[in-house]
Amino acid sequence: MSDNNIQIKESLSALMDGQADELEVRRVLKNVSENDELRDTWRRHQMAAAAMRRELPEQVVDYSVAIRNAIDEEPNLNEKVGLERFIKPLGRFAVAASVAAIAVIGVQQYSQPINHEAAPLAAVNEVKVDLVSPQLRTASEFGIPPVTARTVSATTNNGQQGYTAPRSVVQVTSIAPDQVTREQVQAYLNELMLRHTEHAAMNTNQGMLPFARMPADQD
Amino acid sequence: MAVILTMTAALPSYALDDLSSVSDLLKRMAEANRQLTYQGIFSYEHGGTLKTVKVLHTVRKGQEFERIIHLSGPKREVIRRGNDLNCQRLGDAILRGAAPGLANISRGHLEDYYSLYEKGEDRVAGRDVTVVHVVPKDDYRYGYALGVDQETGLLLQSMLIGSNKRVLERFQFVDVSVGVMIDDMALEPTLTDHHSASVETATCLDNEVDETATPKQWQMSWLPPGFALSGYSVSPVTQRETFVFTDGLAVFSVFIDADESINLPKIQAQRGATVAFLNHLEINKNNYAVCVVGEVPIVTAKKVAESVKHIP
Repeated sequence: MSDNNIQIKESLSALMDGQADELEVRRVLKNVSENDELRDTWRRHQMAAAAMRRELPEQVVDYSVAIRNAIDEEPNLNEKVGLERFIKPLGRFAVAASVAAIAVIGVQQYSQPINHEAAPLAAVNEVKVDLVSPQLRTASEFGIPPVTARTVSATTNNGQQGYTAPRSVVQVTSIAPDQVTREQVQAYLNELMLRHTEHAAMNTNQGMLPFARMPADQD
Repeated sequence: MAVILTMTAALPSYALDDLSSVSDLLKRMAEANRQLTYQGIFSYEHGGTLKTVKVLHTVRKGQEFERIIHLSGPKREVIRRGNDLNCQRLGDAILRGAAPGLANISRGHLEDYYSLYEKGEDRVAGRDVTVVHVVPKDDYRYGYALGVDQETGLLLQSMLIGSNKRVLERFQFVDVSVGVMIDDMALEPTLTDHHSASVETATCLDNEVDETATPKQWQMSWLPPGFALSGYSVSPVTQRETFVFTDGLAVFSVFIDADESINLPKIQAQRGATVAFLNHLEINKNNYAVCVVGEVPIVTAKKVAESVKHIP
């Protein structure tokens, strides 16, 4: 038995244990197709393993030759005619295009600032920004099946609207120039939001919730 | 089996406007949140951010004690103490179906502005909840999907739902214990720079109305239907006037500042579910900044801000 043979049998045994790496798997498959002895070894190993698991049938029948013959008699699937030949590449292109589309959506989803709280308020001259960002959707009265306690997923929901991180947005419609800095605007709004948080905590039935809303830069 | 399933699915989820069960549930919810002792961890999610927050709540000598600790992100703690259980505020009252004897406020019923639907059961934080959908009847407020603990009435899950059925924020307990002992040490803040939330007693409904604390100068000529004034104060330091309005679920505040020191531009801002709209008024050559902040659609904030009028 050659060194190569010993090596390949080690790989085979690794494959059966689920320990073979990709390279070993390829080598085994390549050798098995050419090497009758190896094929026999594989068969014996499989039978031994099956016996140990008490999975051996009462009568062992070797179907392999019959199956091989049957495969040989099958018409070759690659020999397609005319139109069919044409359609296949188109289908592939369609798949590729849809993959590209997914990739683009992915970029849109994650290109938003993740930590939007830290995202600064827009500059004083900034113009219109969409204030309503697409978000998760929900259910029944509000649209789809009952609301569950499932956790939030950052992937598209029900194949509907893409999930976009929200933005902290300030839209300035008229400008009082010079004197006002972004920090001043931010500080002023933060203070009002904090006051509002306290009002909300006392006036809603969700006491602790407003304090969860309270953004980090308000402390 | 399949037949039963189909039938269940086919049953219409009827509005319970004139049935008492959902209203009762909301009443219980309004009380449970303040009166019960509970501690737990909840998650708060809006848009791409998820925060985890720990809450401890108990009642000592008729007063609420609450400690809120942010477990993720920057270290933050909020301590809220001394909110008297006897102090009933407008928001609670509306949820309870407008307590009697409140002549000076509009007798809003929640059902006038929202449709209430019971949407079956779910499980949150290992507890059985009843799911209630609160769907606004107009565009001036958001909707809610609530998960209310069946045993105690505590709100364990809440989603705020904006236009186009978008979930603007989600609050949900991960783990909660109700009725456990909370010792005094656990209610002490560990952060020195924690935030102590102010507790306004002036907003209690049965308090004598203080004449100095009634708005005289300003008036909102438009309010979304169902919203009523629940609090008003003037800061002794800055002279800022604050109005708080609620419809029982949503709250917005109107701040009016003499705009001399801070010459702010007109602003429209949004952070999570909270919006802010800042407008200017010039009265007798004095500038004022009017800012509406709240968990309401931006249209509402804008309309309110633009409706503020000075009473000569």
